[in-house]
Amino acid sequence: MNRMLATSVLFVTLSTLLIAGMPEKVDNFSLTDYTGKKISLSDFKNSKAIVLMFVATQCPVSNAYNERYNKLFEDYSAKNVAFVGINSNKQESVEEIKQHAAEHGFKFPIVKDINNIIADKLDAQRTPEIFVVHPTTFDILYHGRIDDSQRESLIKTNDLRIALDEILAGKPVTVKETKAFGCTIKRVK
Amino acid sequence: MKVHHIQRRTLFGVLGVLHVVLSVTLSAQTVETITKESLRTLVAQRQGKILLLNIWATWCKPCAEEFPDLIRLSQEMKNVEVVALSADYPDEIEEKILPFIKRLNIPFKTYVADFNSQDELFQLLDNQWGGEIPATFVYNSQGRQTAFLRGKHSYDEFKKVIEETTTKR
Repeated sequence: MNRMLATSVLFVTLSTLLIAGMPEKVDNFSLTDYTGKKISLSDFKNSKAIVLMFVATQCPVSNAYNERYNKLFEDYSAKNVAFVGINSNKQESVEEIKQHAAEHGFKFPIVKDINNIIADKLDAQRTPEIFVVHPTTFDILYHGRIDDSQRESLIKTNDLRIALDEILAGKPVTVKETKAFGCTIKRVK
Repeated sequence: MKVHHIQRRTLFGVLGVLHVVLSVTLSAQTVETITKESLRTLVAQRQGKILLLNIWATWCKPCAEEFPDLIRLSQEMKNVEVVALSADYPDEIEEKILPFIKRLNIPFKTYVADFNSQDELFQLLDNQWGGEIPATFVYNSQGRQTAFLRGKHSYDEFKKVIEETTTKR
């Protein structure tokens, strides 16, 4: 009976992962940021977690989060959490990313994902979209949204902060997968 | 007398056409909120038609770009009910949504999701959908989902999916 239950749970879990198309971990990768610096996941092996943020320059939803990106970086980089912005949109140039980052005072690096290779590997579909990765195993600890509303006044759950607080406390992440409206990442064909 | 009769018929004909034109125009100029239960009913009660449910938002540029193709589809494929569901906030109807649908002259039914949370919409629709917009869901005449189209699509792509849904029926 227990074996049947365990098999059923495993089946449901695997089905969910397969349907959602979400990988369980990501291989180490290297991309170049808008200053020309090469950044690899393995650079952050001494951090507590790596927050990969798929961002955009032209997406109004991503832009609604500009101040929240900065606040998250400020609050959690102080707790040894690493942040990397990833721009996979084909129509947004490195120069545009650089200018946009300067305009909004981003202190975290933003890498250009040419030909959306990393977006494809992670099955990232929208901006903003977050992946929190373990610093050495690169297991995906959390995937989804920053919070549950573009309007800060309507936020009910700060999902990313909750996940990061649990990771920092050495606990398993309670809600590992969340969804939110966002702009489709514009891929090369 | 006969001429008079023809004139009356012509007048009624003109009035009839005007009525249809006004009805279509007026229906295009309204946006209603829709609850989870009402959306579930909309999907289930097909009355013999295929449903093409397009999720869009006023902030979404590709959504605006694909609307002309959806409008053409709604006018040419009579076995299809096209419904647009906005992911904007319900309090943005007057300021953002109505001006948007008037500008694009959208002739089909447009709703804005009035759910307790966006999660309720995600749970109701396809599990593969993470919230990226535009997104289009196709349901056959029995209300069973037959397709999920992620991102912007063309008239031909929509038509192909509709035809596949029709032949599978």
